[in-house]
Amino acid sequence: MSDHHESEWTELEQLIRSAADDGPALPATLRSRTLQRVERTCQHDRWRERVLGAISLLVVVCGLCLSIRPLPSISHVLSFQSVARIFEDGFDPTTPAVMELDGELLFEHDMQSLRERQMRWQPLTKSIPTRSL
Amino acid sequence: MSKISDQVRDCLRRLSAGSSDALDALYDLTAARLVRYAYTLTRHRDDAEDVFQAAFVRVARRPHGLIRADYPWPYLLRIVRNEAFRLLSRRTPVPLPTVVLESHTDVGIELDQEDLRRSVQLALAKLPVAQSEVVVLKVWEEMTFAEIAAVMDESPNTIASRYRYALQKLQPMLEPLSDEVPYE
Repeated sequence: MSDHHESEWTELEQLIRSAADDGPALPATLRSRTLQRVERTCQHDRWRERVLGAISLLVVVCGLCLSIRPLPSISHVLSFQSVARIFEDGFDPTTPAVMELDGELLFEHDMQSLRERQMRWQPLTKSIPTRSL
Repeated sequence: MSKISDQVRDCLRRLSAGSSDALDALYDLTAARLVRYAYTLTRHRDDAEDVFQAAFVRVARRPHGLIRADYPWPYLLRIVRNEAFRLLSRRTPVPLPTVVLESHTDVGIELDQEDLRRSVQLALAKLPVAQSEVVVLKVWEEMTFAEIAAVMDESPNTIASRYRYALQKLQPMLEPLSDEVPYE
């Protein structure tokens, strides 16, 4: 059936078409309600863009802060635990806590120097130290 | 078809340029036809208005997509269609008042335009939504089968078949009316 279909439907189509001549009457308030809804939605969009912009800025600032001063690493946490045990047991160079702390501090020192080299874009002349306790 | 598309595009261009009266012009141009189409899909007046509003807000927020479309009017109809199905998927179907439908098909008195409109709408409401939708787009929106196929995401042959089935069902329902309505 093409767009120029049989003429048997012409009369029926004309009847249906004539029923749509005036079209349904729209309620008087529909225009104001619709335009208000558009305005409200556009306002929400503007506010959402502002909030997202503020959050993005905050993320950038936080990222910059963290890149300057890294978060406490696992070795920091282990060091705190070792220090706490030294305070409890008393200082003795032969105790496991003191040896452990020494190892943590050496490891952290190596990691810190490695980070500094990376930040300066210097080629690595030394392999990454393995953590040995 | 291209005339209404050009008019819609012109309104959207003015809207994106910040013209304050473009939104009013777009409403005047499209509201009645889009509500009528939404009503065909939802068969509920309030739902049709909700669907129209949702589609209108969507277009007003981002007019650029519609401006770039080859034929903005079928694209706009498609937005309305998507919104209607989104709304209907959240609703449980409400049965149509069959008693009223029956009473309106038995025409023994002379009809005025409002009666005719109501009778045709009720007859359309008796068809499956996919068929009444094709009739509305074909007869009231004067779209070709290819254009309707683009709106409904179907092949033109499928659309033509639906149209034929729809007219076959409408004929016995509307035949009594044809004797009452004088044609130009």
